[in-house]
Formats: sequence, C-alpha cells, structure tokens
Amino acid sequence: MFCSLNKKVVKLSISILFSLFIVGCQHAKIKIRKSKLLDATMDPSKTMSPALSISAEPMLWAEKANLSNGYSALGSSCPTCGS
Amino acid sequence: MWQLNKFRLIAVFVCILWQSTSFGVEQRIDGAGGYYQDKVVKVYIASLGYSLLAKDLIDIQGVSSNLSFNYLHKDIQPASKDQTSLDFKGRDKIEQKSYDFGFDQGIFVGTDLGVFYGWVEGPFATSKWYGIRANQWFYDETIKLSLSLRKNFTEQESSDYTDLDGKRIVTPENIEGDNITLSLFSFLSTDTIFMTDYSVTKSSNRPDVWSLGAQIRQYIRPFYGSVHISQAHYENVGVIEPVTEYGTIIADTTTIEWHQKLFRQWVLMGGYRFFKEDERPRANSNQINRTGSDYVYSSLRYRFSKLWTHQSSEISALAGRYLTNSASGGVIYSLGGKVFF
Repeated sequence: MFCSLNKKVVKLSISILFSLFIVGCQHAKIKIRKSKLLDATMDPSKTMSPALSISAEPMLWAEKANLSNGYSALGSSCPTCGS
Repeated sequence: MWQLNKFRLIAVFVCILWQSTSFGVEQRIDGAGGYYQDKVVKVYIASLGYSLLAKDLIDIQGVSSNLSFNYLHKDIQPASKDQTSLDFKGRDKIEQKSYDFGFDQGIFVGTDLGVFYGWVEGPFATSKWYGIRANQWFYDETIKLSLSLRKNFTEQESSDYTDLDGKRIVTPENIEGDNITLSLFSFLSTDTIFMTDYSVTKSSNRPDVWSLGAQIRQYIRPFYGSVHISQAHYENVGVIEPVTEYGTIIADTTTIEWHQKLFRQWVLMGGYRFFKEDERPRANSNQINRTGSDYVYSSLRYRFSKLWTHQSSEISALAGRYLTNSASGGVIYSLGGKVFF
C-alpha cells in the first residue's frame, strides 16, 4: 500500500521501534501493576487536562505539518484529515 | 445525511447512558472552553467529552468495555474587520464542528480491540474517518503495543487558480487516504515512561507522509514532579502534482514540560514547544519557506481527590503565549474540568 515510500526510511524507522521494544522488554522486570507504579504527574491519563488538550487547536492553521492530523477550516487543502 | 447520522449516534449514546445505570460502570464527563487571539484571527473553542467504562459487560474477569464520545466546536473570526491575510470568502466567521465516537472492548486480560468513527464539518469542507485499533500489553502490563488503521475521506470546495510559474492549480473536490500508526508504551522503571510512535499516511492528492515521535517521562522524587520531553519528525516529500495548494513539507517539533505537585491536591505545569517547518513550493523547488514558532504555556489543576493513585475529578486553567517568525503571534486562555461518577 505504501510502496512508494523511501524503503530505507521505513526500514530504519521499524528497526528503531523494534530496538526500543527490546530495550523496554529488558527493563520490564516490574511485578507491580502499572496503577501502583505511576505518579499522577507522569500518567498520561491524568496529565492530559481538557484545558490543555484544546490549547493547541487554534494555531494549527499556521502550521501545515499539523494540518495532516486535523483539518483546516480556513479552506486550505488537507492531505489526510481525521483524528 | 450528516444531520441524520449525528442524531442517530447521539440517540444511541443517550440510550446507552440510560441503560448503564443498571451496570457497575464508571463514567466521565469533561469539558473546556478557550479563547485564542493573534494578529490574524481570534478563535473561540469549546469541547465536550463523555466516556463510559464497564467491567461487567462481558463475562471475562479482568477485561473492560469503553465507550467514548468527543465534540469540539471552533468559531474562527478575523482579528479585525480590515484583516485580509486569510480568506474567509465573504463570511463574518467560520464555524467548525468535530465529532468522534469510539468503542473498545477487552477480549482477554491485556488485549483490547476497538473501532472509531468521526467527522469534521466546516463551511468549505467536510471530512470523515473510521478505523480499527488494537492494544496488547506484555510483561505484567509494563509494555503496550498499539496498532491503528484508519480510512479518511474529505469533500471540499475546489480551488482553481494560476500558480507563480503559470501552471493552473485545480484542487479536487474529493480526497481519500489511509493511515497506519504503530505505537509503543513502556514502563522502563517505576519512575520512567517511554513512548514512541511511527505513522504512515497515504493521500490521493499529496505524497505519502511518514512521521516518527518519541517521548520520555521521568519522575524526579526529591521534587515530587515529572519532566516530559518529546520529539517528533514529519516528512511529506515527493512529487507535488498541481492539485494541492502547498509544496513538500519537512517539520520537527520539540516539547518539554514540567509537572509539579503542590500541596496535596494541586498540579502546576509549565511547558515549551518549538516547531520548525520547511516548505519547498511546487512552483520553485529551490526556494525554502521556513515557519518557526515558540509556544510557552502553563496550567494549574486542582484535583478533588487526595488519592493520587486514583482518577479524580478536577478543574484546570491554562494560559499560553504563541510566537512565530511571521508577523503573527498570539495568546490563549482556557478553562476546563472533568467529573467522574
């Protein structure tokens, strides 16, 4: 489906992800469940407040790279849209 | 068509909410309002979210079902009446509404499968998307792999104009695309979280996009606070056909935040985001248009529970300053909260 992509880039990226996965596995000798581990200042489900999540919305019209994760109401063409 | 779908979906959600009173469920409602203004636009934003977590919907111990709905409303107006740098096409303002629905079901302990559907409505374009996602935990739930597959569709007003090199640009009325995202979440230690994601997006009017992001969160025990550092790289390069309004894009984003516990129920956060984007226009690939921005922001949250290990209802306020290398730079303020019941 994505055969037109630069194959080297794809291979490199997948290699990095896989390496990080292995590193993560080696460090994962933690027997306590995650809910006991996390401090509230680290936990993604506790640090993303509604006020923070909307704060990045307004300025996206100026940043084309971020349009691909959203949608421009101002009429610019959007490469992907969604999310 | 859109109205019908919207009301059907909302009706289904109301029924589920009503029925859920007979199950042991945890529900959450969150909302926020914000205001942004720079030299070009002023934007009013409101969001509303609902989520329902049920642990007894299917008869497997240790799994749960999660239903979610999110709504976002943006009202965009020119910063002044003589503002001409953005084309509002004769309108006083632009309204944009976004809806997103999702359902995730645990099928085994540590394994979730989900579906999602959403759309965005605006005066010049409407986009919709749907997809599936899966999460798998490993090693006592310390490592999670996630996969998301998404289809995107956009209907927009076509633009027809002559570019700087004399070539005619005609943007299509319909755009289709696919996205695949692979993510990894890992507890490297009791005080360290590492996250990374890789994404590829294919679109009918643009070259393929790939992006790679990583984030580390480190708890600093002596200070009872955490530092969050993230980096993301984005590339949308290749042959630009005369069907899109901008050229190839390479961008990088760096973000650093500090989250500090204060007293027993407060969290103060300070953050900085740097964004850099290089665009090579189709009409002149030797030219590079660079966009750079600095965004400094801070939020204060109050949690109603003193138990930090549990989810808690809370209220929050945020203020930020956004600056770019162009003439535009603005301020943002927002207030929000969430309630668990």
